[in-house]
Parts: sequence; structure tokens; C-alpha cells
Amino acid sequence: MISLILPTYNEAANIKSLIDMIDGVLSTTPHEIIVVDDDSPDGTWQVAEGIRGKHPTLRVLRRIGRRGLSSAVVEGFDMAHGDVLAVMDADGQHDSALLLKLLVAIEAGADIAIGSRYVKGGSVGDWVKDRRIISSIGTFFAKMLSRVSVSDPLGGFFAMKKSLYEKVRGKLKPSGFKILLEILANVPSNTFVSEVPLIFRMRQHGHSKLSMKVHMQFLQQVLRLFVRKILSAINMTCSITFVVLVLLGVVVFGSRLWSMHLLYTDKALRTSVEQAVRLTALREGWLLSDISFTHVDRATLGIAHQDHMRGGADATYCEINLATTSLTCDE
Amino acid sequence: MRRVSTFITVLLLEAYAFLLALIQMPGGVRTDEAKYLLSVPYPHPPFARFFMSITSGIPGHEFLWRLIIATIVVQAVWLLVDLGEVLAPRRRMLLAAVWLFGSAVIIQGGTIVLAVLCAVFGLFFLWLALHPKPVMTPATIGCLWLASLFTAYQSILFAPLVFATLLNNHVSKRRIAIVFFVPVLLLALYTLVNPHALLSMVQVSGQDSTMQLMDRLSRIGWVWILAGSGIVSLVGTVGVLTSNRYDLVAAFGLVLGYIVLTSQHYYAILLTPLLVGGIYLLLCKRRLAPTFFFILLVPCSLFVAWKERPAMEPTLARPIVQQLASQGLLADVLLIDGPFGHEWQYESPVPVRRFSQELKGSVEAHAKAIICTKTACEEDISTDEWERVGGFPVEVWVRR
Repeated sequence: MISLILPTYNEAANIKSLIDMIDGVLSTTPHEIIVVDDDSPDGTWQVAEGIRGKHPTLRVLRRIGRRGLSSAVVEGFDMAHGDVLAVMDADGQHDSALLLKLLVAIEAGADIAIGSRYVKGGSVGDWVKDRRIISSIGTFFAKMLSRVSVSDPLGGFFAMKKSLYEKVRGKLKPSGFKILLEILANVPSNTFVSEVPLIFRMRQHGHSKLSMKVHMQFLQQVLRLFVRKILSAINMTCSITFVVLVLLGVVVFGSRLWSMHLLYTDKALRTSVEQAVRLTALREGWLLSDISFTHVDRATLGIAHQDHMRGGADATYCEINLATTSLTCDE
Repeated sequence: MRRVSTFITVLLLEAYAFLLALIQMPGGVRTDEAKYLLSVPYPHPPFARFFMSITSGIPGHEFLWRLIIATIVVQAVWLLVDLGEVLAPRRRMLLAAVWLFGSAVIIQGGTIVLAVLCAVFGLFFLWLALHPKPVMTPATIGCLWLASLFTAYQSILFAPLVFATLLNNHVSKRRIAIVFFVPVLLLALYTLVNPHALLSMVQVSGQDSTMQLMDRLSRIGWVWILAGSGIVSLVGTVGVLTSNRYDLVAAFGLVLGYIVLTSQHYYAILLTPLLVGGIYLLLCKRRLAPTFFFILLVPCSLFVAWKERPAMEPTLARPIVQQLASQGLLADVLLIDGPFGHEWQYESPVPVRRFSQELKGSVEAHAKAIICTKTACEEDISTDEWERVGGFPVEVWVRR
């Protein structure tokens, strides 16, 4: 059975004809239609309730105190009984006839079927230039976030298997308008996605919800998903990084410790090294913190002297004769 | 409550970080800060100080790193915002305020001291330990643990939180051994090859050994107050001790024990994340009235921050070196007779050498000025070659 979610806000003028059309398209397919209304001021939920007698497959959820298309879709999906979940716009911009094609794609093996504006045969219709540009930019970034390769990750007309939805449900943070992007950013990378051409139509009644606030919400969603993607990449590379750093540390520090091990095992040598370093430091005016040891043996102490100052300074490599405390440095 | 977008919040926080960095600027670079800015190889491991030192040649180096560290401290509040998702909005805001407007963050947020970065790591480990579900793989935790240990030795004090996180994430014993203990062993290996670090630990552990008990207790008490503006210190401590969380109590005990040993003011911020953790747990149990607590927090923070306010004058190093440079008295080296801090190395455009009677003549010949930082240097310096000049806040000798 297919459960179709219709998120609505102030679509009282469109909802009756839309549900009539959908019921007609899906008349031979087991289905339910769930209108999820954000307590529209124009009483969309009331109109939908009013036609339930004529459409027994219709269910209505009125959300009070909650707004947002993505969260509405998720609530609708959560209460759906079908094993295929679908969503489309309630303003007439999506051709309900495409529902059957999406269903055919799912039955043919796709995990997700998308009504896509950017495959051959699809189009954005009569969009103005500004909207096309903004959509192209948004699609460009959204493609980077999708875990599967799709042409239209921002589409609002899609169907998916309920079993897949249940897998990703816990990871979704539904905010803004782009629930498909949120889903695509969380599905397994071997998810099979099929795209069906969609011609985007102009809305029949009412006003567009696209506003600066919506664009900002999309930007926030993209940033959040990018940060998560980076963190995920960090997680994956951290295993290798950890092993490499530990091995590097063991090799570097281990070899240095070996070259200095006499300092820890021979107390007399330690005393003469200390005296030699102090005398050398006094004679040269060096600060002890500017001196590091390179190697120690019973006759000589290898040191590197480097002035700590802004802009850095080159190190000078020297040897101290422990018997005479004389200093010899490389040129 | 009006919702402010995340982006605007980040900007406001950044403005606050800018302010925290700015209030430290009049005091100039202190000796401890110079150590890290120049990557002097003690007392701490090299991870953070390496990055600080590779930018040392650029103008505005000091302010750059004050701002970077203040940004890290301030933006770390998002960890608490995430932790506070289970809280009502007012309690969540209080949790954020307790960190951001705590006196330790106000006073130390813009300083270039590794204890501050260590405290942010502590907050991060607290977030990991208190988070209701695993958020990172063991390897990622291991990398961060390694990074924290190689930033500052004090990170070891937060070990109970890291260990508890791994246990609670059901990581196998073998993996815990690798991820938790191997970094600690690596740090021990690094310490053995760096005698300066060992020596400085010995020196620091003995430096307050002659302090009277009452003086010591008074200093420890003040550090505890500074860590949480007093009110958070008290309530946060109650929160930790009544939490039934062994990891938090153990970390708290370790940090407090460390403060008892050292009683230095700049370690106050190490206690702050744990006190914030105590506040968080009390907020979860709804045992704090957020508005009332916030009203108490503000004056307490302001009072404590005022008492411990940053220096308004730089150390003598900056004005003296600038004056020497303006008078053409800086040659190949700058000689200093007496004790001095690393800020002289930071402020001087030429290498600094320690003057003594054993100093080779060939080294002394490269200098045009000797700065005396002890009571008197006349006995050490040859008046045939050097003469004392006035107009400096300390004794300065220049070549005849």
C-alpha cells in the first residue's frame, strides 16, 4: 500500500480538487492519503476533514504549534500504514499522474523514486531566472551532501520504501523545506534511487511559501549536513591517523630515548652532563630552554642550540667533550 | 522567547571572543604566554605550541592567538547547547551562560595559556561522557585524547571522563587499552626524551613547599571561587558530589588535588568544565531555578572578574626593548644580567643571552646593552667597557 503525505499550509483552495485527482490516479492501487496541516488560518484542515466522507482513504492531521514542511512530512511518514511512503506538494505544482510512475519504479526495485526536474524530460517550467539560478546553486551543494548520486536532491515529489525510512528515521533532523536532502544525506551509499522526469507546474491558487526565511533555513541545513559530513570523514580517517601517529611517536621518541639512555642509567654520567651543560650555558650565555640533547655517550654530549624568538632561528649543532667541557659547533 | 538564528548567535559569540582577547592586550605577553608563542620545549608537549610558533613572524601574532584561543573557548559553548537539548530553553540558556559568563572564562579566555585549551578539552570530554548516545568512534576519541595529552600535561586530569566514555560506549577492553593507555604511554615516552619537562615538573612541585598552611588554603579557596564565580563553584560542586557519577567525581578530585598542589590562579579554568557539568546535572533534576540563578551569577562573575582583572600594563620587557631599539642600542644580541622571563625573548628582535662573569668575551662583544634585572649589577660588569645610563625603569648599561 502507498501512503501519500500532503503537507499543507493555506491550501484550502487547492486541496479538494487535488484529492479528487489523486484518488482518481490511485483508484486501482491500495492507498491512503494523509493531509498534514500546520493549523492553516484558511482552514485547510477543515476542508480536508469535510471531504473525508467522499474519500474514505483520507486521513487528516492538524498540527497545532508546529510549523515546517520537513517536520510535517516526517510526522506524516511516522503515522503512515503503507509500505511505500510518498510526498508531493499540495499546491498543484506536482502532476499527481506521476505517482503511478514513482510506484512502478519502487516496485521495479528502487529504494527511492524521485520526480526529478533535472533529468531528460523534466523541467522547472516557467520559473523566473532568479529562481532558476538559486535552485541550481542549491542543487550543486545538495549533490555534494547526498550519499547517492542524484540529479535532483531537492525535489519535493518522491516515494520511498518504508523499510528504508525506518532505517534513517533516527538520524533525521527535519527543518525547513528539503526533507529529501535530509534523507539522501543519511541513506546507505548502496541505496538504489530511480528518477522519473517531472515538469514543474505553476501553482493554481494561493501564494508561494518561498521566502528569505526559507532560503536561510536551507542554508542552515546545508551547513549542518556539511559539518556532519566532515565529522564523518574525520571519524573514518581517525583510525588510520591514530595508528600512524602512535607508530611515528614510538619510532621518533624511542630512537631519541635510545640515544640518551645512558642519562637514565648512569648517575655519574648524568652529573657530568649536568655540569657540562651548565658551564657551557654560562660561557655562551645560552638559556637552558634553548638547548636540546641529540645524543649522549660516555665521552661526548651532542646538543642543538636554537634561540627562541619571533620569526624563528636556525639551530646550531654542537658537541661538548664531557672530560674537558670544550664545545665544538658545526659551522 | 525570540529565536535568534544560529548564524547571528555565532557572530555575537565571536564578538564576545574578540572582547575577551582585547582585554588581555594592554598587559602584553607574559612569560608563560611567551613560552607557548615561541614553542619553548617546557613545561608542555609540543602539539599546540608548535602551531603558535610557526606564525610567530607575522605582525599581530599576539592578538591573533588571543583571538583564536578566545574563539575556541567561546564557541565551545555549542557543546553545552547540544547537551542541553533535553532541557527547557531557559535552563539551556543558563547552562550556556554558566560557561560563557563565568569569571574563569572572562579572565582567562583571551590568555595564551595552555590550561585554557586544556579546559576546552575537558569540556569536550565532559560532553562525550554525559552525552546520552555514542557520538564518536573509539579511534576518534583516541585521536582527541592523544591531541589533548600532547597539548598540555594537565589533560591527564580528565582521564576518568575519557575512560568512562569508552566504557559506556561498550568499547572492548583491548580497544580501550589501545585508545586510552597507548597515548598516555606515548606521553611518558616523550617526557623521558625531554629532560626540560621533567625538570620543570620537579621545580613546580616544590615551588610552594614552604607556603604556610593558611596562605595555601586561602589561595586554593580563591582558585575554587575563580573557577565558578563563587556561586557556580558552590552549586557546581554540590552537583558533582551528588551526581553518583564516578567519572565526574574522579575528574573533579584529580583537578582539585592538582590545584591543592600548585594553587596557581591560572589553573582555575581547569575546574570550570567540571563545575558546569555539576550544574548541568542539577538542571536535569530540576533542582535549580534558572532565572534566579542567572541573576546571582552576573554580579558574582563581575565581582570575581574585577578582583582578578587582567594587568593593564605590560611587563618591563616591551617598553625597555622598544626604547633600546629606538636609541639604536640593539646589536646582534641582548644581554640580561639576573633572572628574567621568556617575554624578553618574545619582545626582543635579537637573540637574548644571559650575562654572567663566565660569559665569553666573544659573545659579550656582540652586544651593545646589558639589562640588569637584579638589585645591582655593578660587581659583574666591567666599567672599562660599559657605562650605566639613566632613563630606563631598570638598570641598563651600554657600551662606552
